[in-house]
Amino acid sequence: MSEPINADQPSKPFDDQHYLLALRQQMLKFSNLQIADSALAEDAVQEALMAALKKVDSFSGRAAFKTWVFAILKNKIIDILRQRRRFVEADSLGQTGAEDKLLQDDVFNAGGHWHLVERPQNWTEPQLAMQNQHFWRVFEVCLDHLPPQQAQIFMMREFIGLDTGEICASTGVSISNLHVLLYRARLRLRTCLEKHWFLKGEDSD
Amino acid sequence: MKIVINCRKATQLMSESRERTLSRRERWALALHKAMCSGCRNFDRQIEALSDLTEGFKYVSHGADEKSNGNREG
Repeated sequence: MSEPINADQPSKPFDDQHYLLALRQQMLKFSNLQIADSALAEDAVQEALMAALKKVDSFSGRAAFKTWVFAILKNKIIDILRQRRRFVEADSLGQTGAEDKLLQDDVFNAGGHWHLVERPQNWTEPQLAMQNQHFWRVFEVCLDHLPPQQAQIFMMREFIGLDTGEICASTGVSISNLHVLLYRARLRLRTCLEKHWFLKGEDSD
Repeated sequence: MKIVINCRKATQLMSESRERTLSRRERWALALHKAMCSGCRNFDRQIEALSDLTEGFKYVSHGADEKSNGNREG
């Protein structure tokens, strides 16, 4: 199902090597967050790209193409995670527990209330940050600083948009651990973003 | 569960409410806490924003600038 090429339409994603390389890098990064085995992570990206390129003619915009290619990647990753469920299970909650106790002690006092300097502030127009390349660099760094299992679960939930049942089924994490991991990831991410972006007043570009 | 909760518990419930329906008692405790605590009200808005931002992260390109054609859906 290809459609006629419009003269003022940008070139197909396919024709632009730089675009494809950048896209592949992003997919790899994402895939690596989900799958600890980098060879498998790369296989998933390769397969998703091949599948997507077969249908490239039905997409005139890069955004549409990218959404679609990530949808394929997400399914490849889910398949791999299902097969490797036991492997993921070995990555226990306990490993990062001590580290997170530290973070929580940093932001909450003994009574469980925010330390004065850590109390969340009002983020002015967070959607404006989305248009800022610098913001996304900060976002990525904050994501990279999450403990691996938190990053994996958080991305499955918020980036891929899986529901909790699917995440528990494909990772073997219990529902209560899932709640804990998501809470910790959100607490970390918001702390990182506030400290490194929203309190710096750079979001108005 | 107690009706008066601290910020740690309140933020846990806020996070969990994005994945499950809170019990009536949890909702009361949370509403009461939020009425008194601006930090936790901000936290609630922030994790909502975090969700939108992460969704938006899908469309970020680190290479070519796609702002000019980013909204074309074909």
